[in-house]
Amino acid sequence: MPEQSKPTHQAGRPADAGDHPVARTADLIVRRLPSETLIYDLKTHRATCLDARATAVWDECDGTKSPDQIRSMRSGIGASGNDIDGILRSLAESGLIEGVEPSVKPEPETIDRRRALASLGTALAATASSVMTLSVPTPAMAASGNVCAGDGDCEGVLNICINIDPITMLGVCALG
Amino acid sequence: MRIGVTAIEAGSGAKRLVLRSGKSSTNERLGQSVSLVLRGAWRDTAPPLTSDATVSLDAQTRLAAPDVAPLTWKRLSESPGSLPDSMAASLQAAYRYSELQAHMQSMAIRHVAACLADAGIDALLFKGFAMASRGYASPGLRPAGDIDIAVDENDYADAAHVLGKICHGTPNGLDAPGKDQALLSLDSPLPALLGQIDLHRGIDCYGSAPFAELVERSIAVATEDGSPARTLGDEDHLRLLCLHFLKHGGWKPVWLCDVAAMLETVRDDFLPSLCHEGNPLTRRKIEVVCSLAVDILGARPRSAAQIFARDPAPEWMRRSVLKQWGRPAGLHRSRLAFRKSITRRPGWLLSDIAARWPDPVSAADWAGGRFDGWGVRLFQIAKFSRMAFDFVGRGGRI
Repeated sequence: MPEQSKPTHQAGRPADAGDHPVARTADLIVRRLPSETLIYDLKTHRATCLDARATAVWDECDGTKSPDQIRSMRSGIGASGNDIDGILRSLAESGLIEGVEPSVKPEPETIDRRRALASLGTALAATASSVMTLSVPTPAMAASGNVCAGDGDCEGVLNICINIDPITMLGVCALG
Repeated sequence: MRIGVTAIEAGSGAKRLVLRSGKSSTNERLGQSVSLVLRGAWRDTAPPLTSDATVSLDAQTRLAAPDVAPLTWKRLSESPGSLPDSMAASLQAAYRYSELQAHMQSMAIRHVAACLADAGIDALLFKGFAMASRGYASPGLRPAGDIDIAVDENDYADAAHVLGKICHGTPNGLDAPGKDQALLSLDSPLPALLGQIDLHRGIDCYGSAPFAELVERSIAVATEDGSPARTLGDEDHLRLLCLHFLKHGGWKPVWLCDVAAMLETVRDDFLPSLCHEGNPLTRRKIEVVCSLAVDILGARPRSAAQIFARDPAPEWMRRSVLKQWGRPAGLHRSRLAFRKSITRRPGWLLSDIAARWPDPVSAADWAGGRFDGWGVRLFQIAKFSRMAFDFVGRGGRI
């Protein structure tokens, strides 16, 4: 059974504590699975999926560590400093960490343009695969009925399936 | 286009489970593909599919239905190459969605159970999350649309009142004497994934035991947070799952997965006699469904429940269920849709009647549990005639 918990962080630490990122915990539903973490934001009704590396970075955001200190864990999770920068940026853009600007600058560890481009590509790839936004039915959709993939999933007065999401292939039962 | 006939289960004594005689209909063969993919998918570790396993486009459509998409993803993700990447991504998204939904339902159930308990009302959870949390490797593998909760007939009005305080959208006629079921939506910031609460006035249609006895035999719902919610005891739950499966013709594969998961997780002190309440007909119904779970999904009943799956399922039932699973989801329509189609699209009457013709399984169940295969078509005609008679008797109303 997957565990369910939220990352621990220093109690009382202000959210804007300089450049020490703090994992947001308020208004989040967190579901931890063996290989990833699913997070539902109750404010934006947006779901995000963190892979193991992003989960590790998010857990480190306890308000006591600077981005540089978080980067120092890169060898433990098989990521480069640029990977971690990209993950931090994505976490900030997703509203999952506070106290860090979404535009975290990569560490100046690249020397020439070719290496810089390669590092940037790696960071982007890491970001794309580490922090993903999931498509879920909107509250308005769900409030109007049950989730479905076809008319056959709808019973009673709500007997047709509409607004089928092209990604999840899920729609909502509605009055036919 | 390929028909789903090439999936092969690996392991010792591997055999082709899907290839059948040329007399199998397309829907039956698609249903066989569905059954092959779902075999054991609820367990922590399911038997792997061979590397050359493929699933046809039509079978993929059936397997992408919300009730089985997470199980499909789990099974096929362990067999790389069996699905196109786009399909795999969609299935995985459905699984993640279902995990979040299950987690939120767990939270909601804890809240609802506490509210009802505070009011002194015994409530029993069944199907849906109650099965997802106990019989599946992870709750998200078993999507649950609604939260099914039953209360004693005498507590129904009070329970509706309690839930009315924390829900919105109270349906018409909730307190009406003839109403035995109500759908409510929790006032919660989680409506997007939560589903509705399906409040039942007892569960007499799935057994004869008084509600108080069901409560006495009930067990705690397996949740991570120590929820006070309770669910039916194993005997009562297995009976309900089997009778519910027959009543609806078994068209949702996850219903049989529930039976299979229950057979594999019954307690050591499981009492078969308590399950069928000494009623031979009920026993026969449970036996045929449990046998289907073994034949079609490869269920491995614990010793205490093996008595229900000693004989193979009737061949006609096995084929009928597989055909149901292979049918496009849109063909499973409700009674209301039937009325609408007649009143709004009379020109389509014949095709709509064909689409809504009673399936053999539910017809045999309706006819009193005649599962020997004799007279099934007569039962279908009789059931449809009764439906039409009732429909006309109501003046075209529900």
